Amino acid sequence: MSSIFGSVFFFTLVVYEAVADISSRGRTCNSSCFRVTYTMWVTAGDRHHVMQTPHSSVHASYGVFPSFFSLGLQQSTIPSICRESRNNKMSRTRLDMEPRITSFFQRCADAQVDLIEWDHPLLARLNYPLVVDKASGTSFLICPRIADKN
Amino acid sequence: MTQDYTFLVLDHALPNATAAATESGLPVADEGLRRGYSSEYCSNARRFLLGDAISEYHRPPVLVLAPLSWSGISTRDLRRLPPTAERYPTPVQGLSVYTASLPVACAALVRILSSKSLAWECRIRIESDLRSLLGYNFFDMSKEHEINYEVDANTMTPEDVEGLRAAVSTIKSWPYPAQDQWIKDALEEMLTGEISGNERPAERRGLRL
Repeated sequence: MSSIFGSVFFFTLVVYEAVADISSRGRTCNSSCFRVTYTMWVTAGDRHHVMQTPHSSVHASYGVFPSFFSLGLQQSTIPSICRESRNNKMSRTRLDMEPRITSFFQRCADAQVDLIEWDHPLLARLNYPLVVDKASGTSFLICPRIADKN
Repeated sequence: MTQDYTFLVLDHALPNATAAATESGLPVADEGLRRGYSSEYCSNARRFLLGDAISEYHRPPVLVLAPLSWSGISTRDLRRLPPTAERYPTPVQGLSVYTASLPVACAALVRILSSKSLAWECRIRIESDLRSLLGYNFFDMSKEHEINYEVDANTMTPEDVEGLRAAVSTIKSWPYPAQDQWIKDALEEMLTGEISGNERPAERRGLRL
């Protein structure tokens, strides 16, 4: 079992132009509304292929949410094996946290510099759905419709 | 592996925060390092490297520090997190981390979207964040993987309409000050898809921020 999942990666697929044509108050509007997140398993080979997908939204997404351990994740979308892996990784990462980061936090505390969440820490707290690649701890944002064309 | 950290700090505290990062041995990120988070598009943001990239496809983890004024969020709209809040190293004696509520965050994102000088990459990022926040906070997205866009694109069930009305109603109840009432309309337009990605919410209403 472990050997199978050892070669499988967990992805989040995001559609930027996902929900179209939502009507309200008697009108029909033809514009994108929400970003929709998909999760799927792909093989290591496919992972490389998807990451090479030549599309701006894919490239723009690389590194946007590296190694973020999501707490705003929708639990229902995650296979249990991945959830377990994620939890293990969170614990391990906390223990291995760079001393320089801890030093930064401590120096901010000493200098009475208040830190204010923004971008992904804030969005996660506000229930932003991010999913972490169980192999690398990195989350990916890829448009599946574009990926399908390739 | 290290995660990214992105924080706003009070404008007058930005030099101290920058000094704390430098004195902690964090190297300043090269200007050429591609930007990802919205805060990295703030001209006054400071970026520091937190480690090495895990592969050639990733950029290295970064610490981003940007002035609070860039977000337009007032200090009175911030909430202090409990000292034991997850996702931050504990215990760090005396460290104060603040966050913002959903209404405050949404208003800030709309204000930033209204900026004429906003880079298009940043606009895409913020629009995406905002729509995701609205979508995942107001709608049941648990069945999203079952959506067939070819079939459902022109279909809106009574439940969808009701959900949309409820979302708009909730946004209208958010306690924004009088001068920010236009933000409610902008958020409603986001929900209903009435605003295109190229339009600035404030400019659409003849407002100059």
